Parts: sequence; C-alpha cells; structure tokens
Amino acid sequence: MANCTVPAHDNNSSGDSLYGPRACWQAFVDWCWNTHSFNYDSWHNGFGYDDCCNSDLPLSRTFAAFWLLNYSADDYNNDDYSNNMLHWGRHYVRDQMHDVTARCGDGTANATTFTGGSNSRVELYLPFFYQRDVVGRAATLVHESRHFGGKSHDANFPSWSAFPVGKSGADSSWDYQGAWMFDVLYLWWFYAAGARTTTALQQSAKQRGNFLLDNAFASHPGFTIT
Amino acid sequence: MSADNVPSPSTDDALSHAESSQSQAVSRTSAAISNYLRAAVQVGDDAEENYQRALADLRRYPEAATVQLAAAYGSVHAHDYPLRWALVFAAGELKHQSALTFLSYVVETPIPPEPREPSHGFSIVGEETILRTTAIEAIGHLASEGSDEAVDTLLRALKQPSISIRRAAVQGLRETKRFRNLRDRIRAELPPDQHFLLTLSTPRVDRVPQVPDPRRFLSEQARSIETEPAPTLPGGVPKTRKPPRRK
Repeated sequence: MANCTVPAHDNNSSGDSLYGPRACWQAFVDWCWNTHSFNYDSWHNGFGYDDCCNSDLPLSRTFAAFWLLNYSADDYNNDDYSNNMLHWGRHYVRDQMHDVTARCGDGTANATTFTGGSNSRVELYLPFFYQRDVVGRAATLVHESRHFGGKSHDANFPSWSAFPVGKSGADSSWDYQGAWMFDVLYLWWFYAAGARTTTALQQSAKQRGNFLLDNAFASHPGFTIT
Repeated sequence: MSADNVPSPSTDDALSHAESSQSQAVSRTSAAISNYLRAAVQVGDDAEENYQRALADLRRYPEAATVQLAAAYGSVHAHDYPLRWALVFAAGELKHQSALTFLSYVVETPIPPEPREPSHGFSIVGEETILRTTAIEAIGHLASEGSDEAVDTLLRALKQPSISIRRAAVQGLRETKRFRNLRDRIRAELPPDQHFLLTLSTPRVDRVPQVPDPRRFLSEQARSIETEPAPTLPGGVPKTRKPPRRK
C-alpha cells in the first residue's frame, strides 16, 4: 500500500472546472464506470468514489477526460471507424480499455497498461490526475488503449529526445502506428476540429502534440503542427 | 507498456489531502488575470464574448498584466503544469512587446533535470519544454510583427539543447520578414543532424498518414465484445450521486 497527497492544482487552467461538471451526470458516470470496468476497490481511500463530482479528486478528473474523449466531435455519435480519429478515438478506447485502476505511482509515469493475463488493466497515477490538463489525460487514454491493442513501443529514444536517450519507450516511426502516433493524432484532431472546448485547451493539445512529434519517435516524422 | 507475466493489481493505495491543495497563486493575482483564466475555460453561447472581454481587460494595461503574470508564474507550485502553462499562454495572448521579457525568461530558464528517470510517458523535462515552446510561439508572433528583439530571442533559442525549443524557434523565424536573410545563420546554429528542422512540413491533420481501419488494432478480446456508445448528451446536466456499486 502506498500513501500519497493531492498536489497543488488549479481546476480552471486544467479544464476541470469546465469538464468536471459536464461529467457529473449519472447516466454518463454509470456508462463510463461499467464500460471501462473501473476497479472498484482502487477508487476508494481518497481517490473519489464517494465524491465523484468533486473536481479536486482523481475520479472526477478521470471522468472529465473520458467526457472529452466521447463528446469532442461535433457529431460525436458518428464514431464509425471509417471516420477521422476525433470520431473513432472514443470508439477504440471504449472497445479496448478496461479495469481502470487508480494508484499513487512513483511520479515517473502517467499510466501503465498491463496486458496478457487475467490481471490485465490500466493503472493511472498522480501525474495523470494532476499534472496533465483534461485533453492531455484524454490523449493518455488513447495511448494506453493502443497498448491494450497489443502494440508495445519498439525503439529507443533518439539522441535528441527529452525522454531518456537510448532507453526503450519510443516508437520507431509514424508509420509504425504505435501508441505515440495514436496519442499525437488524437491531440492533433482535437486541436484542429475539437468541439465543445476552448481555444486554450486546443492550443495546449497542439503544444503537446508537437513535443511528442519531436521527442517520442526514433525517426522524426518530418512534420509539425501549426 | 505490456507484460506477459502480469502481477495482481494492488488496489489499496490511499490519497490524502493537503490543507489547501487548490493553488493559491491565482487568488493573489489581479481580478483581470483571474477573470481571464476563468474565461479561457468557458464554453457556451457567450463564451467567446466573455473571453474577448477578459482579454481586452488584460490588454488594457499590458505592462501591469505582464508583471502580475510573471509574479504568479514565480509563485505557482513548480509541478502545477496546467496553471503555469495557462499563465505563459496568457502572456502570449497579450500580443504586446511588454510581455517579451517574461516570455524570454521562461524560454531561457534552464530546464531542471528529471528527479528520476521517466518510466512511461510522464517527463518533467517534457512538461517544462512545453512551457517554453508555448512562450516561443508567442515570441514568434512579436517577431513577425517586426520586433528585432524578439528575433534575437528566437536566434538565441536555437542554441538550446532541446530539439523542441529549436523547432519552435525555427518555425517562429520562418514567419518573419528576415527569414530569407537569416536562413544560413539558422542552419549554422543547428546541429547537423537537426538541419531537417528547416524543412519540416506543416500539413493539415487530414493530410498526414491516418490509421486505416483501426479495428485491425483491436485485441482479440476487444473484437469479440460489442460495446455500447456513451449516452447522448442531455439538454441539461442532471445531478449525480456516485458510481454504481460493484457487480
């Protein structure tokens, strides 16, 4: 068992004061909790189960990210896989992500997906809850879902990366269609065409997408988001 | 990350609350900045109008606003990245020369090292870099409006070790009238293996390779289950109590 403390945070700038109340809707809460089979036990002990509309707590902040993921296409019900990623992103995460578990973590990861056994799950950690804005969290859900889909990172971070140079965790290229590509593509579509959101969060998505394009691929994709 | 031998989940972590975890930095700033930060996250029929009004208030005294944004930035908890980012973004939205000193300070403050090696996705260096590229983009706007001082700041940024900072600086310089004359100098400042930053393309998102038939990338288990889409948005937002009990 680990103990941790809610860190300093500002719900306006993270987008939680906007998305938290939106996700505070019983039909959505029920759907989200059941569809993604949230791990019941892990969301107690301060993580928000008994106060799931409290934007200061991890559960509300997680629901906020799922809300953004599900309703940011103008015609969000059109989530066919033949559409663009702003539409099918939610479908993919819904089909793929399960056993969503809250944990403190050690501060070095947002989330980790464990696959391949009966205990497969995604664990979400404090940096996910408090050091990412809502769209950053949603992109992390997309990223982790790609791991659920069976795709691990296949390369080491290149010499210029802000991530640990020479260590594993990068994707070899954009065409590898790995978790970083899914992550960036979602951020990019959200920046370009996200609905029911704010200019600030779209700009934040652009900055994060560009950072990942520069640093998370062994071979730079050769383009940038403008 | 994936693992073949998946350990059982530990589900008994406990989260406690500091006396006041809501950041206090913003409450110490002026009403104009607080209003702006609130308006920046509004949506709805009058959101744009409210945002523009809050921005106009901020722009009325850009020098004072910059000082206050810088003061707030200095007092925010270092790891409250969303708030720090919002303050840098607000300084950029001033689109005023008076913000240059603060924005340059953000860019030129050395990036702190990782306290521990990132294991999956979260990187202090990454979050710090994003603050700086956001500042550079704002400086790029000033440069494109003819500020030589802003151009000089972008040129200095090319010397930084971060590829993202260099990339953002190159993009900013490309938008200036001086770019053609500066191109050789920019190239000389970049490490040879990063000369490609001068030729990065800037496509629309629908022009980059997409994911054809994402269903191919579903796990076998996921393919076998038909999931129900999220409920259709209601007209209003009903109250909620708590998640369902364990099944």
